[in-house]
Amino acid sequence: MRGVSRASDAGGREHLCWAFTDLDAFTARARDFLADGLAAGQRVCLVAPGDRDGWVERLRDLPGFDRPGAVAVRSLDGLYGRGAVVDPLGQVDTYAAETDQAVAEGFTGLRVAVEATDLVRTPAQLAAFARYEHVVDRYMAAHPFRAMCAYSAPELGTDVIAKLASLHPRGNVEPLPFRLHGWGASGTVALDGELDLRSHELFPWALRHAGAHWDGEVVIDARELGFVDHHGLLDLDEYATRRGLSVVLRTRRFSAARVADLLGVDSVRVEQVA
Amino acid sequence: MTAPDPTTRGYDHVALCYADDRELLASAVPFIAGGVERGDAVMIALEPARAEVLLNAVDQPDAVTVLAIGAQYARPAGAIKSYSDLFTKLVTDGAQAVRLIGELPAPVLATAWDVWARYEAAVNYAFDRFPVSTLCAYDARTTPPAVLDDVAKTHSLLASPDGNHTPNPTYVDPPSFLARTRPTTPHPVQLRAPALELVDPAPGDARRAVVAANAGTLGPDALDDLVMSVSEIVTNALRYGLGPRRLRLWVGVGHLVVTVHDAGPGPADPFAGLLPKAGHDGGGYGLWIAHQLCDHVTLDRDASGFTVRLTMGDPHQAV
Repeated sequence: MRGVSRASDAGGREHLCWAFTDLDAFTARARDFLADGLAAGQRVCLVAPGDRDGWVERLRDLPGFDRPGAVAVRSLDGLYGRGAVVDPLGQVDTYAAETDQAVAEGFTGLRVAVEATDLVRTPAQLAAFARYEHVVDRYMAAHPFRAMCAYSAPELGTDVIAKLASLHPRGNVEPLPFRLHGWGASGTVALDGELDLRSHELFPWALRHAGAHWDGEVVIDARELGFVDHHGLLDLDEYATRRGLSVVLRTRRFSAARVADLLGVDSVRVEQVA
Repeated sequence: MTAPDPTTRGYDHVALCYADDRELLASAVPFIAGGVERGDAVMIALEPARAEVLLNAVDQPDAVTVLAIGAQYARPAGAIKSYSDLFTKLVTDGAQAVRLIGELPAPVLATAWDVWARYEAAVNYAFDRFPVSTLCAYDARTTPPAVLDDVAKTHSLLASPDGNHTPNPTYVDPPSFLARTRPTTPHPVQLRAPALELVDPAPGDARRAVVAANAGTLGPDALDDLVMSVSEIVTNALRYGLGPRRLRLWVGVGHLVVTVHDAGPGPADPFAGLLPKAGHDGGGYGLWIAHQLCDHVTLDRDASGFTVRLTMGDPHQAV
């Protein structure tokens, strides 16, 4: 896949979208993810459906497990009712408070691995969780909070997985045409990859959910966007117009500014940057 | 009809085929003088030498705006857009009517008339929302007969040597004119085997192939415009055409030629490419953008399907 990850982000902040095929694969990846957090002095937390004690046992041999307060395990079964729809802003507030608390207690931050399949099964759940993913992603870009959002590919299907993956800066879902995510200490919006025929359906969906909590002027850092066709520009303009937003698209592409000018888009300003 | 009525909205598209400067001035001077007298916005878009002859012959040359023909007539779809933008502004700013005398640069009559003929037909529709009269000048001494034949089919009025404008009995309504099929003349570089051929490429594959094949032939901005155009046309072929879709690319001196062929009938809209289509489905914008960005675009239909040819750079340089 071309250009969907920022080279400068390698080894940087982690908000992973991880599609798995069976529970063992999820467990192995979650252990690695949390072990990295413990090694970095973070408080870590596993959230997954099923028996809490069973999960504790699967993590017990991780280095750093015995540090007081370092490892938390929560069963998803007890956290939400069946079919529960996440409250995007409320959930981010919760993690923000927990991140602050972890730092106050001497940890370098908070790192959470979530087996979130049960939270995105219905269209209403998926819509709310997608909005949450973008808000929390922008929070993570600016705060010491890291997360791995794991989803069962066999249970959700490739379409839902691609939708969720498009709202994460990194992950194991390939190929993916673009990623719409948070970036930098100020929680800027970033757009990487390519917007063309492969994203004609996915991009409007991602935009609608990621943009749900945008307001005023939104600067999109699109320096790593290798291509945008006129559909992408019109999608952006139509969405911004409908929401009363003013979008600034910062891109390296000469043609993006040319086409935006030809189309006469009103709510998107394309700035060519180095 | 002896003079366009400026109080009636609508477009008067007048052909002026002149045999010498005297005939040009006989029609052009009263056209300009009448416009200036009424307070219309009056403009000319002519070769500099010819513009000077005309301005020397009118009483109030300062009342005439001179447009640079190189920019104005770089690309047909661009000319439609820039003239439409200009007419909109003039009318918004209070002009009751607009008069324009224009003449295409001689080289395009020889090398790009195919697409300019489509322009001459399409403007009857595109400019009809404006209170505009244009006098399209063609030098009968140097204009190829086939071009004059098309001129006679695409202008609703003819300028007489006495300065009057009369209805043109050979005028063909634009959709009928644009529906005709004429084989495109291959560029010299197309007489060689293509440097590249892709079957059913994804738009991204097509873009990367064009960039790789360019190898410094086009500058970065022209290449970026061609890549955008190719991507849009391949996308249209995949969305609306029938397989197999075939992209061919030729690299010449200072120019690239790309054809995208599919087995479908092509767009049903006779104005496709020349006028943007409202809304963003249906493929109208992609073809229009390619017409705006590329130096030359042709559309071909034959028994095998529909072909868009995109040219960036001058295809008549040595290959």
